[in-house]
Amino acid sequence: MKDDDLYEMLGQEIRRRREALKMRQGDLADLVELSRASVTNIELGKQSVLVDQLYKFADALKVKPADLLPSSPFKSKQPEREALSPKAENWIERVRKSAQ
Amino acid sequence: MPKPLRVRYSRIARLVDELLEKYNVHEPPVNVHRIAIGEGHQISYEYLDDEFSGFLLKGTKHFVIGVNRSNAENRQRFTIAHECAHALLHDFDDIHVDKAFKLRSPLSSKAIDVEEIEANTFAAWLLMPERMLRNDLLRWGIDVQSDDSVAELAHAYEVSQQSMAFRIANLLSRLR
Repeated sequence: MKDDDLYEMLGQEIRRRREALKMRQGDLADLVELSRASVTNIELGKQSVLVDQLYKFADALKVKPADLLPSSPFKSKQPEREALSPKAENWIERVRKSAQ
Repeated sequence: MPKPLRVRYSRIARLVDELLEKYNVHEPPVNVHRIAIGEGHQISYEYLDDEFSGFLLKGTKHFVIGVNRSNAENRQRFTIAHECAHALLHDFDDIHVDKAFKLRSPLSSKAIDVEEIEANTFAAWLLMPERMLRNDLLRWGIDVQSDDSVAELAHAYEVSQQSMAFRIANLLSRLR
């Protein structure tokens, strides 16, 4: 997964949590000491988040920092198939090429 | 093709009968390799750990059945039949991987997915065709309680004793 996806998922989780608490972006911005525009961008995944900011978001949203993070971000884009051993993946790749 | 909601037993029975007739199969063991090739599939073998039994890959012109050669011979035959079923009955994007499925009763805890139950049923019926097995049970007067008899039949049909035991139990439950 690309970095963009990570921030997008983090942003979605922040927004989901904020809305659940019926908070406005401006309220959240005050609590985390950022501008409202930054909060908007963060929720859209267009702005990255520093670790200290992550803790502030978590505090403001009354969750643990980890709760805002996707559980296994680097697998999340491939839900269709579990990873197999390298040898198995290699075999499948060879078969795929020969079947084209 | 939407996913089936319940197991299509009569369709499976018909498909199996058609294949047995088309390939002129009248006695065990059923040459499942010949049937798969005859149906236009390619078969690819590889030695792997026990992580999975096989896969079915959709090529541009044909399917490729991947078989884990580390599995017992009987198991490999079952895998080929199982993947043939997916090719005939099921829709998938690019590849369908079958994790090391447990043999093979519909009651098996692994057989929760309707498509997997269908594929296992198809494989059991193709490798142990009802008419043939029924005749053998009658002709040999087989004592189905006896492990030796099950072993003998399993040997003749080139399937595991476990699959044969399930298959016989399944046939008998429907005879009553």
